[in-house]
Amino acid sequence: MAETIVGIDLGTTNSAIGVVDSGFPILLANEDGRRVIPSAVAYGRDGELRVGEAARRLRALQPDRVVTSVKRLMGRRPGEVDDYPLPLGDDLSVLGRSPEEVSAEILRELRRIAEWRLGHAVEKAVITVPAYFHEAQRAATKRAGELAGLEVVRILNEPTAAALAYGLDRLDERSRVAVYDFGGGTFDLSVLELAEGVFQVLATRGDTALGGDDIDRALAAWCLARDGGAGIDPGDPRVLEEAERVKRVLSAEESATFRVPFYDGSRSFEREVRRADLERLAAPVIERTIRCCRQAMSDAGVAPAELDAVVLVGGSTRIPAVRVAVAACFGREPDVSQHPDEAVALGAAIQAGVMSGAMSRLVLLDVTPLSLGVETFGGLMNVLIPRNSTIPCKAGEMFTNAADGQRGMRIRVLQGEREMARDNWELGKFEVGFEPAPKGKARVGVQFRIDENGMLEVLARDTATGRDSVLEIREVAVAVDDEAVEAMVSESVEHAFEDMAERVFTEAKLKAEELLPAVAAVLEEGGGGVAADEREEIEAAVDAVEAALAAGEANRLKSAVQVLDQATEGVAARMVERAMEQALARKLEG
Amino acid sequence: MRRLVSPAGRLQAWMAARGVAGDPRGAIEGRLMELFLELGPVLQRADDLRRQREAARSALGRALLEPRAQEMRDELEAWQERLDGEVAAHTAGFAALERGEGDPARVLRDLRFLEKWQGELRARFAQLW
Repeated sequence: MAETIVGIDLGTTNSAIGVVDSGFPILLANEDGRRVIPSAVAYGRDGELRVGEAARRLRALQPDRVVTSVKRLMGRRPGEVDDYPLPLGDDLSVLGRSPEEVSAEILRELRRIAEWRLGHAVEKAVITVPAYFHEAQRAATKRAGELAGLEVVRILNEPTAAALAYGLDRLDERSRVAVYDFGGGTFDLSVLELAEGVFQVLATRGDTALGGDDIDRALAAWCLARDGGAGIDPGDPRVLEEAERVKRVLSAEESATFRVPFYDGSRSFEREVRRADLERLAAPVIERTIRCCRQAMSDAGVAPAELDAVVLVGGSTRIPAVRVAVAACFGREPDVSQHPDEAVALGAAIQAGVMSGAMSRLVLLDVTPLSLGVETFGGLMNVLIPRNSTIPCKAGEMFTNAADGQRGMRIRVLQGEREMARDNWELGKFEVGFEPAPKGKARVGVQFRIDENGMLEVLARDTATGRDSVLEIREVAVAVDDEAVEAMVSESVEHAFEDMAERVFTEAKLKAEELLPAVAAVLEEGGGGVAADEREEIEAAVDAVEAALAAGEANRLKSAVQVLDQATEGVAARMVERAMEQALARKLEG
Repeated sequence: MRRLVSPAGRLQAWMAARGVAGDPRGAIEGRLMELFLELGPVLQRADDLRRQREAARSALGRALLEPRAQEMRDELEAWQERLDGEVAAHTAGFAALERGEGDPARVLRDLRFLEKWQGELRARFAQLW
């Protein structure tokens, strides 16, 4: 009998657990027959711990004791989350528990359901995360699994899981699929290729802080903005729960009533909401998802007509306006064959089944969501693993010392799409020491390795001694501003021109820094037999380079350096000639 | 054809034709080992110089490295001649091997190493042009 590995969708709003049974992936229902449980944990005043539906019900009575949407806190740093419905500690703890501990309670409950259904212990799991989760968020998810007593054998991207669920009965076809996964707190759009049992993610774009919750908040704020709702806190969990209910109703009905009964003990609030109101409020959120779609399609180099299907998953895809926007963007009706709340868990179960041997082997290839690299001379970003590289993967490059007598090198590990190192996120840094050596002599090989879970290991080797320094990003407090995730990806195009100007300036500056001392040495020594008019031309070109450097103008500096390069070409050619003549003379003498 | 142009290939073919057994792996002549220990740093210096030339961004920057490049080419050429001489000396001993004097496997190993280092030298020489 194959070892049991379960697949878990640890969602912002809901969670589910599945397994492959007799060759088929199934979700495991709890005692109430529910296959999907709310991702809610209640630390009741009576000291009792409740998870799932029981916790969600308690929110009406004890809103300050019920933790929901904890996924939004996973792997985040203090200051990154400013709209959480409960007070947060300095370390982002909620009700005195870390986000991992709260998530672990949800995972424990799922594990309990699985063990009860299967009748034996469950120790291994595949857990899904949004494709855009960075290293720290993935590591936090893994830690939550470990706290729940599970060995997390794979962290799987949610859209990939959804594609696995979608592709099961279509494996004999070669197809390209876009997965639009719009959940409670996160959004991802992935373009995948399915062929002969091989799944490859061609591109992925998304936002870790964009989901149905944003629509709930907008709806709550709008409802309370008039008709006497000013005294009600739109961030109150009960208010948000009512907004979510109204949103769900409006997916099927044309109008609904938003109600906050006895909000101050005696008064109640009611407001009629039409579907058109919701659509208007949701439009900016939906537009952000559509922007991601266009970017992912562009990244994948795939035209909408080349897609075989656009698969919708995630609870927020029930909203009719979402379906209309997706249809307009892709020029086709989206595929709604997958259960919005179950597809990801089903895909996780399939992956778990593949890993345990309960299903025939499928090869699953994920990609890196953002480029990874190191800072190099002049503060430039040197990409080692480009965005959308298939993982697991590794890449390396050799670096040399920039100055004579240098004793070490600082390796700054960066993630992002910007040209300058400072505009990208620093994932970590470390020093590699070596014996003092002349410029360009010391060599340090840097290798990046990303494992199948998206965890990054950076190895730096001093080639003279063979001494290795290793940095595992999962252990580093990742200096990533999640708000900047979206900015990084969606605005990299907007910054492209200015970034390129800065890169042009930096590269021209490096060339100027090489040329100016070389020119000074040649003019001083009279090497290359510099003629008077030639000297005049070179000196004028040097002045122009120095002026452009001082002005800090990229294109002007680039042109000036080109002029200086050309002005010194004759001297350079004569120097080469002379070196060859000297070599010949040596041979003749010898 | 290519195999027989190489002295090591010729010797190996001769050994196969005559049914002469011998371990292709093992020790080489001590003197050759000393030679290679001397040659290793030369190749490293050639690699350093190549990297510096590649990193130079201007014609003048490259021109300043040219005297060193010329010297390095001379040094590599001298080493090529030295290794050619070693190969020729080993090849000259083939007649003795045919008479049953000496250890063909040992000579084969020496030649293989010499040819390997000849290849390394040729590659460095080509990279400096």
